[in-house]
Amino acid sequence: MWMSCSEIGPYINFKPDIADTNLVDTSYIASQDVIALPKKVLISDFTGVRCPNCPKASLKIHEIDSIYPNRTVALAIHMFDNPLAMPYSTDADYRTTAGTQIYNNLGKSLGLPSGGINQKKHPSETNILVNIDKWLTYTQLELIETSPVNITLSSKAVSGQNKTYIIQVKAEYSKSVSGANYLSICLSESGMVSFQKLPTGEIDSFYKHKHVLRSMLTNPAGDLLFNSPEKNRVIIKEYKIVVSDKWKEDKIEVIAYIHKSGLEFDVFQVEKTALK
Amino acid sequence: MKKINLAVSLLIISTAFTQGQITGDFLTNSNFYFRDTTIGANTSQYQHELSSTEAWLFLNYSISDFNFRIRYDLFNNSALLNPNEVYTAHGLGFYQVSKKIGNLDITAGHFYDQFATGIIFRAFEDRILGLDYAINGIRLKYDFNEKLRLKAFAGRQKNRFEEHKQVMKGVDIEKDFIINDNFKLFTGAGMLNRTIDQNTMTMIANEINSYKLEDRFVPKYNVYAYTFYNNLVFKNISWYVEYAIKSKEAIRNEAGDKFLNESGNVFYTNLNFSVSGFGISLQHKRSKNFPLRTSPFATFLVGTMNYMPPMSKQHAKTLPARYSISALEVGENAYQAEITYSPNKKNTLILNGTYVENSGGTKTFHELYFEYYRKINKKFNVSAGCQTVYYDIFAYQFENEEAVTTITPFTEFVYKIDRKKAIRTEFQYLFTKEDHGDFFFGLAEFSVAPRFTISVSDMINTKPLKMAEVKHYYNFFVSYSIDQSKFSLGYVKQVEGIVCTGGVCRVEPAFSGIKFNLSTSF
Repeated sequence: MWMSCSEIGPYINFKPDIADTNLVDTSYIASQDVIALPKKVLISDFTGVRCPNCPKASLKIHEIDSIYPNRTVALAIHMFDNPLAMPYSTDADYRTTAGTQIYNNLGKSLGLPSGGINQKKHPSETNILVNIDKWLTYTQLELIETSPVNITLSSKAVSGQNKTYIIQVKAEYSKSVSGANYLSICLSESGMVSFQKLPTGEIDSFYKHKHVLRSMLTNPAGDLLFNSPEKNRVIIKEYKIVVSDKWKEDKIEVIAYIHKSGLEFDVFQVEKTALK
Repeated sequence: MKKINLAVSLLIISTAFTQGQITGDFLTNSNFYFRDTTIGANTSQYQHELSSTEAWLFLNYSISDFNFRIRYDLFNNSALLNPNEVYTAHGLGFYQVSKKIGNLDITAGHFYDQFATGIIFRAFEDRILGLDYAINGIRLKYDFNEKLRLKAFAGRQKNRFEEHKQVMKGVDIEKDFIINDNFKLFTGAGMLNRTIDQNTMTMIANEINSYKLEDRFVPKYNVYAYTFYNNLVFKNISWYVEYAIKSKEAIRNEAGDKFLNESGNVFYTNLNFSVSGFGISLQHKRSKNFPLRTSPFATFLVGTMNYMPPMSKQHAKTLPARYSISALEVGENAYQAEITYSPNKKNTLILNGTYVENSGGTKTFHELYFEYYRKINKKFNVSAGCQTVYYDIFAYQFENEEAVTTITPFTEFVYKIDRKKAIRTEFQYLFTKEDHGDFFFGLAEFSVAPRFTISVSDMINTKPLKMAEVKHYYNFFVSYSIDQSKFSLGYVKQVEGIVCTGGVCRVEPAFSGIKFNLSTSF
């Protein structure tokens, strides 16, 4: 009875990118004190094309962004194993294994839409993922905090190699942090026009999807960046990616965030940049 | 707080019945710390808190096949659960309701139990080592008849005043075959399942994703362990055999720095033969990759779900017990033999030998022990013996030090002054060129049965290898018993070392100070 089903294990990456010796992977202590930059907030929007209330989450993200321009980074995540994210057509399937793993890591939710504000379990909450009516409040609380780390993110096309880019992440710590710090890098795409169920129950065939997670350059729970980084610690890492033919390069954003991993996933800082 | 309300409510409800019975017991330990940096007695308690207390009050109320049990636990500045920690907490450490309905026994709340010898599952408590492996959940027992029994449970292991997040469940069935008075078989089988929680699995997956590709594997949420056991009794022979296996899961390698995806197994057998005045016991255990814990991140004595039968002699004397062992989780091959020969009531000879090697075939422990006991007359008896030990410190304490070889002769004299009064002395000497070096131990005890005992002892590091000078570890001890209560007070200086009970061991730091103990039952 106990062994009637074979279990589905966690995500293990059996196809890691072959290490490119030309990619930068370095760390050092800065000669001058690192000055903390304003904290940005990652809004992880767990959503699905058959979820009638999910367009409200997209509107909420737009509302928060208009109040705090350039201080939030949105990521719309479609998951496997959730009927509300089941695609209406195979060519508009936004589900990813990485997104499913993030959803599992953050503890799932009873329904959609739900979201993580900096992937943090906020005081008075029992779960990391919360309803959209709390997103603005928790975003405001996160924005008044000081981040211990600055992120500088850049993307550069590799000449002579079609659809190939080098993503560089520079992490600079203005304060020491105890424990392991992890780095996650995502590619999100906006502007795809396809089906979406609306709050009215109708299906909109021309719904414009935004910030949809397409791929991760790191493990879904992050790559280990540094153990207990001290003040003025600088880490520079480069990743190489070949973008799928199905994605529009000029509609893709690169998102990088530094966070805890394991029992907690609190995001210390997040940054985004256009791929192209 | 909810737990306390629940327990109090249960007690109030239960006391509404007038024909029930309340029993219980109480135990408290208080330590007062005298800093002594020369022996390493300098943990936080010696610097800041200066004293600590632990207490347990257990209450049991029974009525109409109902049993209500609660235990109040208190830890103030305690070093019991972790010698390097100052732990303060109090609350309900145990609550249980059980009811017997015909042949069915239902238990909800905390419980202690085990399957067979405990190789795949044992939930137990040991206050000397600060262990409490109670399960919080549901347990069912059903006796089909006197010879066929089944039990099953589901729950989570207690972790101080909370529970580990990993879920456990198990089932065990036992059947007795009584062929005749001379030939009996007691057989059984059990199964245990533990499921890793999502957060722990994420940490495991994170670590595995950082490995080289060839070392990566998909870890399992669930581990399954099975055991099959049989005890055959034929006239004066008793032969116990148990074989246990567990499915693949992420376990730490021997160095503790990497996960391996390994299945495991244990074979254990124990053959006993005894006739009047003569007994022989032979034991063998072979284990491979058999850690069974709530999580692979749980270390030392935290989260242990099973129990490996000890494969070395359990010593009561101080110096022979100094280098005791527990089972090697990653794997071991162990043998033990013991012969007890008593040609008459005045003479007894005990011979014991143990040999243990790790899964790689490297010797980690051996012991040869003999003891001769002689009753000279009604007033005077004496015992003497010698022990030699080889003990691999790295294998058992993970300290990168040279293995220890010891020779320890010992004697004990007991002189009964009259029916109640007695004087007892012990003398032991441990020779070794490793670790802390040689030790002498001497003890003198005067007792007036059954109430009063006073003793004085000294353990002397006569040839110190880690101290600058010869060190004395004095002990003055007095205890007094009245009715069901026993009070004891001691001034203790104790060298750092291994403390074991029943084959479960931990490294204890040095102690210097006063210990007070009170135990009572009602």
